[in-house]
Amino acid sequence: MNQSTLTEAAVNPRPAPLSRKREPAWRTYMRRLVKSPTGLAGFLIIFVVVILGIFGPWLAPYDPNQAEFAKKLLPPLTDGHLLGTDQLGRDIFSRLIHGTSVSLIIGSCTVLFAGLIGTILGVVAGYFRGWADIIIMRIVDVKLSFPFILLVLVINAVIGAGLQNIIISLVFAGWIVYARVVRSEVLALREKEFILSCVATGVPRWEIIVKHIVPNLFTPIIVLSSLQIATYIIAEASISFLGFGVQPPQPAWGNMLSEGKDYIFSAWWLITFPGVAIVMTALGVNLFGDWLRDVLDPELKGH
Amino acid sequence: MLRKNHLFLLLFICFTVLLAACTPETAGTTPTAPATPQPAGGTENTAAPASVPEELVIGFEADAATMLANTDVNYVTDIQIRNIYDPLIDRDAKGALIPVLATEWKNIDPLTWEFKLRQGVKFTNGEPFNAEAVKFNIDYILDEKNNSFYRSRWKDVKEVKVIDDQTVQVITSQPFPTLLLRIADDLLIMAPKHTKEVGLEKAATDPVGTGAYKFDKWTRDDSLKLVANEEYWQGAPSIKRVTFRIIPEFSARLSAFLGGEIHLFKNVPVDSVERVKSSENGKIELVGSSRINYLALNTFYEGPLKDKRVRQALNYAIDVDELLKSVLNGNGTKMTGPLSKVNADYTETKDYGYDPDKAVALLKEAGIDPKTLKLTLDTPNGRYPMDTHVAQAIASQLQRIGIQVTVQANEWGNHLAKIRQHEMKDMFILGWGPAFDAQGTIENLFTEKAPYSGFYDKDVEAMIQKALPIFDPAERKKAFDELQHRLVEEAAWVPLWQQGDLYAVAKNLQFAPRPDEKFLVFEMKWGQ
Amino acid sequence: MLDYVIKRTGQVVVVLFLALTAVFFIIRLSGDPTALFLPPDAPREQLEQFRKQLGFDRPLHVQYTEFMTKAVQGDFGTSLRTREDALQMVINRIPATFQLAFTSLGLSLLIAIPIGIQSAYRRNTWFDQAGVAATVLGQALPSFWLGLILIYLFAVQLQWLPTGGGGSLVHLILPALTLAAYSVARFARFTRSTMLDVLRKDYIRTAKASGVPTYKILSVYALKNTLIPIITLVALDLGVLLGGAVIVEVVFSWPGMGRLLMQSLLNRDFPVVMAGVFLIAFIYAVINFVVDLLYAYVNPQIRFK
Repeated sequence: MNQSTLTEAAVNPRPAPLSRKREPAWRTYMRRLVKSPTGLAGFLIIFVVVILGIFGPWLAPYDPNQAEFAKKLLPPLTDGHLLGTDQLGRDIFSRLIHGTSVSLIIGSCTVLFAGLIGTILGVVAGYFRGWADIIIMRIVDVKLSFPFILLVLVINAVIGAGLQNIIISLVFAGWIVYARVVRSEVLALREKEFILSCVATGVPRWEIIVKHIVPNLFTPIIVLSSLQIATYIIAEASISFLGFGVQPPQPAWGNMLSEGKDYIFSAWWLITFPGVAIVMTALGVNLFGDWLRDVLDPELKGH
Repeated sequence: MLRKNHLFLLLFICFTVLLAACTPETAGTTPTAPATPQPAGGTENTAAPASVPEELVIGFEADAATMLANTDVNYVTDIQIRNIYDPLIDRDAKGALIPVLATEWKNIDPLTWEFKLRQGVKFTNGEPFNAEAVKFNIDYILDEKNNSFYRSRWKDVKEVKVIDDQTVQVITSQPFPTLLLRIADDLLIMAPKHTKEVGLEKAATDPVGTGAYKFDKWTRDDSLKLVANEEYWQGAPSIKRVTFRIIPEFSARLSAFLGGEIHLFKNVPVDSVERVKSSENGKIELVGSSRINYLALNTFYEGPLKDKRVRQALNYAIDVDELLKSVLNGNGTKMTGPLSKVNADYTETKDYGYDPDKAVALLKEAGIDPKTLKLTLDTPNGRYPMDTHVAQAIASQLQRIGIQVTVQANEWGNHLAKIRQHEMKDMFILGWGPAFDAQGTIENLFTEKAPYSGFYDKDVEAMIQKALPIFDPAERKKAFDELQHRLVEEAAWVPLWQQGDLYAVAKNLQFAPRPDEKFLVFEMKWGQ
Repeated sequence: MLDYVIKRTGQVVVVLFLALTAVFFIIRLSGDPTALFLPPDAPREQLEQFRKQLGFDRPLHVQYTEFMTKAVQGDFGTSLRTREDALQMVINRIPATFQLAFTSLGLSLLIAIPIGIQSAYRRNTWFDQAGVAATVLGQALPSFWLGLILIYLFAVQLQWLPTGGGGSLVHLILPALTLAAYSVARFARFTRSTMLDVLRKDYIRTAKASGVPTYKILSVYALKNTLIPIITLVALDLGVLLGGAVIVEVVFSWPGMGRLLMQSLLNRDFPVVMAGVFLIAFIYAVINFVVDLLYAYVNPQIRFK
């Protein structure tokens, strides 16, 4: 068994050709997904989370911000509260569901904007080289020498806390990951045969970039993004812990967790459920991302 | 098959190495708890030294900025160094002034105060305590070069005169009715000769005072260690060693307490009180602090709260009793006006009570439909007991009559800056303390120019400015009583409560918490 | 070689300069420090006067020029809060910071590399899947959550370890574990994918064909070649471990650099923040430089370019 795996990996490093029988691509992927237990688990988790994020407001049994003092700190499964109530008597299950969309917004918006900015700068640096490259890469170096979480804190100290500001600061700190990956991809791409021939035949630069470079960047960007989403969702929790996160009463997993941290000894459910939600989501996204990487681009490792 | 086993072997070795790396450390740790509290015995401190912990460990949320006295105005510094330095005057449990290094004091005229000093007191390095020492310390505050954060409070002091060894006079440039309070709350006495000899920079990490404890060791952001001053003029302290251990996170403090690593800490969140009580070695002590919490109805913002009727309506619509009971579990004392009952200048004022109908009527009268009213409420995050929760609960109460409240929690520095720069919108939560006199509260929170004020009214301002310089106690009281009634009538705040300070205390420690939030270890003892 | 060293040194200087400049301007926007130090009853005139005394009333570019001129000479000013030399304050935290960073680094490598190797070797088996899932789990746990739970378990319930504080090796265990949980995932995955690459190489196949035992292939031939990329990744992560351990330091009351920096940031104690940024960027640059040299030394094919 081990023997064969090793050999297979060695002989056939690339995934098998995808469309042998002109099967639609998504079906091939689905078939491969079903075969991978971790990938499938990741996919299912993401599916559930996204559904909750979108339809949450209709699914939540209570108003997430309605405080009912008489019912505060009820343990799970009492009085119609599935996951209990928090320190103000709000239904934790409802807050968790509402928090799903907030956490998803943070994850996806950050990935979107950080990805966009990072990709543009990465392409510019990688394709045009010269001064643009030097400047962008120096900025990247500067950012790298400054711990991510401190950078986010500094920015939030300037612009204040809150949902939008969290996203802004995460984007500000997060685009460099994309810039680095994209730049190195572009550097490799521009030496490829088909690009060189384009250049030789006088195809305009913008056309080369838009039509030939960018489409080839999708795979690494998608893989990277799937992993980054989890990082950002967890980052929100960390920032909340330090007092700059999404501000109460708006529920987000991170601030629920940090609001509940003082109750770890007296009401375990306050800190447990949002924690589990974050862990499960991050786990799902990571597992799916790993699978995606294996399928789409076995060559890309880490970042 | 064989190869597979080898692989496991490799893995196994790796993990063994890992484990081995940990074991020698873990091995020595089982009895780490530095001082296991003893169940009973040793009621008198020296009776059975073996039965009490060697060292008192106090868990504290932040490190002192410096060991210099009269420099950093933050209470985290003050609380720790007060065990090294003595004040001239202190407060008793009710907030009344009591002599310490000064034995008596009097007013010679409105600009001159005279203090008699205690005889025979020595600093721990042998220097004598005398009038020169008092002069040195007040001059230290006044000297611009020293950059003392206390200086603004002392700016009316013109001169300190040494009359003889035991007598000192403080001359002020204008009547300074609150000088005694400044002396009680701010001034601590450092050893002048030592401080001059080693220089300020060195003295900041090597303090010498007349206090009950001597400085031992200070590891920044980790711990401050003190040892008993056996020669203390009030007698040798009962507890021989004290450590302030810096533990910024509450849950970690509670863990350390439950694990017996620390014996005392302040600010137990109300919902954790039961957890401490149910632990085998802990008890809870509660004291009404002089610190007050309030909801400012900001008149510096151009909004509906400029209208007195709207402010009054909010007073009717917010049920402070319910907030106290449900959010704070009853740990706090309700206030109805700008001063709490422990404040020397307190007078009873009208209580608005909870009356949502009246609130709606008042709003209608002001031409506002509560259903369309949208307000903002700013709160610091974690500065006062349950602050963000109180804010959310207020929002939820106002929602009952239809008012939409957006709660915004701020990081502390941003919160203060927003108040100072008048960037606050409708309402904000703030605490104030120690608040033992009327002037300190009213001058700073209801005048146009004061940085943290949220209220300005021309007539009220005139009343305040007239009251401030009054020196005759009876007249002064009258003026401030009138002001309190006026401020309640104006509904400048929704007064919330006098903060209830909750302390987790080891069962075998005798500790009576103080309204001024101090930890004077000299007053503590081991024993049930 | 000498050219390369000079060039790299130049780059480090540029990066330090840019980092200080950026942080200087960003942080000045974050508000005024004066009010946080003076008592709340200090009148506005006093605030103004204090601001003037500290030089915050001058135009920003003047402050900046002065700061840079002094910083070049190693003078970052004195802390507004403690009045001590700012750079010295940060330097004093280095031992605690290094202890924590390197312990957790060692710990995570010890856990991650065996898992990574095994996962690669047994690609797509249950071990691989479980290994991946377990390491991902470590990465998915918010560190304060994990930290608090570890405290609860090992310090309160079992009472094996202290809840926090600095000093002895015992105090290091829980914070180092918490911090390691994050990097284990990265290192394990990275080891796995690098190992997969290496296992495809001709010399490995040759070795296999000639009957060298598997464990020997993995531990001697393959591992050696995976180490180089791992070293690079470790160097990259060191930045995070050095200054980014704020949360772990807060939870475990560990007196490290990250906590000092965060407190200074919240107190708007600008000199300390600037000194901290400088020091972290500097250490980071030096480490990366050393790693590059090491890299070239281990693998002579890489030229200094």
